[in-house]
Amino acid sequence: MKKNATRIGIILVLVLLIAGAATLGAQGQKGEAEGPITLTVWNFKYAEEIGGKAFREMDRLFMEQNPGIIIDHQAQPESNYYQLLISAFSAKSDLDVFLTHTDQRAWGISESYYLLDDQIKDVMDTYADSALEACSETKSKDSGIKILPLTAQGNGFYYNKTLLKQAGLDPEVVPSDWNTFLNACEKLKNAGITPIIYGNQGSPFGICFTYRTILGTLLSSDEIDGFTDGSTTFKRDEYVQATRMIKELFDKGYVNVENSSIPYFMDGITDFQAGKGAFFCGLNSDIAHWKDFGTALGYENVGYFSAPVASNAKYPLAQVNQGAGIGFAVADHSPHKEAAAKYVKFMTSGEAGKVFMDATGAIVPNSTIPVDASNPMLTDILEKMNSHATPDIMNRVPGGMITDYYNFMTLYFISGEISESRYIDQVEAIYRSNL
Amino acid sequence: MTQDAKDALVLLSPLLVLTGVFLVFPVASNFYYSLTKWKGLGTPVFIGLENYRQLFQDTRFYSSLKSLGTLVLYIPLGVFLPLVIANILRTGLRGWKAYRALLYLPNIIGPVILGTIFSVMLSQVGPITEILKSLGYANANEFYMLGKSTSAINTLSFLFVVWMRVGFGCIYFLAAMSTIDESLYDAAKIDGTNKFQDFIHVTIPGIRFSIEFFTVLAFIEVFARMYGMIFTLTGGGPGYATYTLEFGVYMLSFSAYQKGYASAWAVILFFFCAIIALVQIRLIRKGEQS
Repeated sequence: MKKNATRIGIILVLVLLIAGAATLGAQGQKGEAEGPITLTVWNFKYAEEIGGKAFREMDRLFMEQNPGIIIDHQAQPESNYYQLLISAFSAKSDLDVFLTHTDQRAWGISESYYLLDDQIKDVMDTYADSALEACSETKSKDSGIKILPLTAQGNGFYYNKTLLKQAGLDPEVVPSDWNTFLNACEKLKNAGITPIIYGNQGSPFGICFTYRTILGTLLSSDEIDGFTDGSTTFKRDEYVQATRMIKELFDKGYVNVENSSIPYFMDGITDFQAGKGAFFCGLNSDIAHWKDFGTALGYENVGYFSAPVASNAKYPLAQVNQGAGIGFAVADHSPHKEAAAKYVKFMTSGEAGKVFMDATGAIVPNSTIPVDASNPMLTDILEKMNSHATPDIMNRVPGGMITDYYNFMTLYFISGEISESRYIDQVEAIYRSNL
Repeated sequence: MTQDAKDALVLLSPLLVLTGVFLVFPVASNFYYSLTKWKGLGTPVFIGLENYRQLFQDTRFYSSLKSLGTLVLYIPLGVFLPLVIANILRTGLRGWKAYRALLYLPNIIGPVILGTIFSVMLSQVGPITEILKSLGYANANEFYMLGKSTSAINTLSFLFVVWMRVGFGCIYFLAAMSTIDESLYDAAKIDGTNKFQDFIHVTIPGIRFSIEFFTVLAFIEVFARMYGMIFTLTGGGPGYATYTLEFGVYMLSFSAYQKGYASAWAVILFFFCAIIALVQIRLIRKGEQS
């Protein structure tokens, strides 16, 4: 009986060990199998209706032109995307290509991004310099490239000309000057129209995007770059001024009352599209952009300016330009780096890039893709992005501070529970602790 | 070693291996990582007690303790309320099975879904605001429970510690009450007690162990199982008003790429949980002895 128990025990242990070894062996062999290469692609926009459709078409084109490569494109949730990426990098799991932002969330883990310099020599000059700089680990357009840009990105203010007209304002006068902007808000409010639509639930993007645009006009490019290494501080007068400007919008009742209960994506966007408010701090590409609003409200009814500009702004024409918003990168542990790099190049240029641009309205910063010059609003935005580009502060600050920073934005602007000085001190403390 | 001992060891070995790999090793590694600077990728750099020094100077840490303090204060209500309801149900209430099903519903739904539902319900554009508006409160959307620090932590505490656990508590206490000998109630009746006195002098002493155990469970839930609801209901905000140690571990580890520092937080959390576990073990032993 005892011997039997011992035998059973030994058999159980052996079965477990064999099962484990077999699983590991199967995983190890996966990458070495012969035949067509399968590239696993992760994408946090793949589940979107329009974006996903475009990606599927782009994949189809790629596979048609590269019969030896199969694309396994997988949708991943955006909310914990970078956590999933870290896990995949640590486990060296099946992942060859992935969509990524170009901010500190990416640079915080960029040692796991494959350096693309050697693979993209032939197409380097087709990408916009500003986009390459944003995609470079060293912020150089010539080297350190770890991401290929799919979109150029920035922030700016869109306004509904019809609502301005209803409030007795001249819709053709661009209300970008701060006092003109406030005056317009006041008239809109008096006419019973919500002046500004914000979506601040969860992440207060409405406030954050406004900060980005205003700070672009108050700080120089070098000063904004200084947020990367701690040489610029949140205690600067310019940050305090931007804070007061945004607070004034809240205090005067110009922001939609329900702003903290609706998320920017998508409720804030759809509210502006539905004509529920006159101003909206949107994006230049991807989503919440010229095409989204032009299609919904009619292009002739939508205006755009880069930022509300204070009278003492040193850079009144500044247009926040991240260079690149999102792009594709190759995992450093991928066994198929060459094929992956080929795919990444394909997706961000030429025929595929055009498919993406046409479907989503994104601005793809690659010269092989002609931009629709017939649209005056797009032309205006592109001109601003090309001629008056300034860095985006949120692309410079450490990615680890973002959640806490947002929490204190909410506490100051929406809850109104802390003083301005405590808010500024807290933001500075969060920033320093994440450097 | 006797043959019996050898047999036992062999039979237990798969479980021991699994426990070692999935429990002991991660806990031990966490202690090591708490002494390093590491973001989850690459090689950890040993920095001694630096993470602990940072932790004891971190506002988030003290806010977390404060939040946990508030949550703990709700535990007596979270225990008492199901106890009272269970007692009412025990003594008979028409249609009590339907009540029981309703009360148990929050437990079936789970904290993530509940957090999401209540974030909508309590939002400025949610049904509660709409009802208030229809009742004539024009500024109802300024009444935003999750937007202010004090109301946010109290809302979270009530929902998680009290409301969500009422159903489970009722079922648990009802089961415990069914073990009380009916003759005790009969004897009390002869002594002329009313229902309240029955509850105080017969029911509570009769299920004392269950009450203590349920209280310990509530502590465990508060310290180590709140992440899902916090994430979906408040995201730790406004400010750090609804931060807890457990939520901080997640945020630091997966949002800020500070796994070494997050491990230091996890070590502190580990000690809190260890104290609760020790109390729990002691109670179980006491229950067995009695």
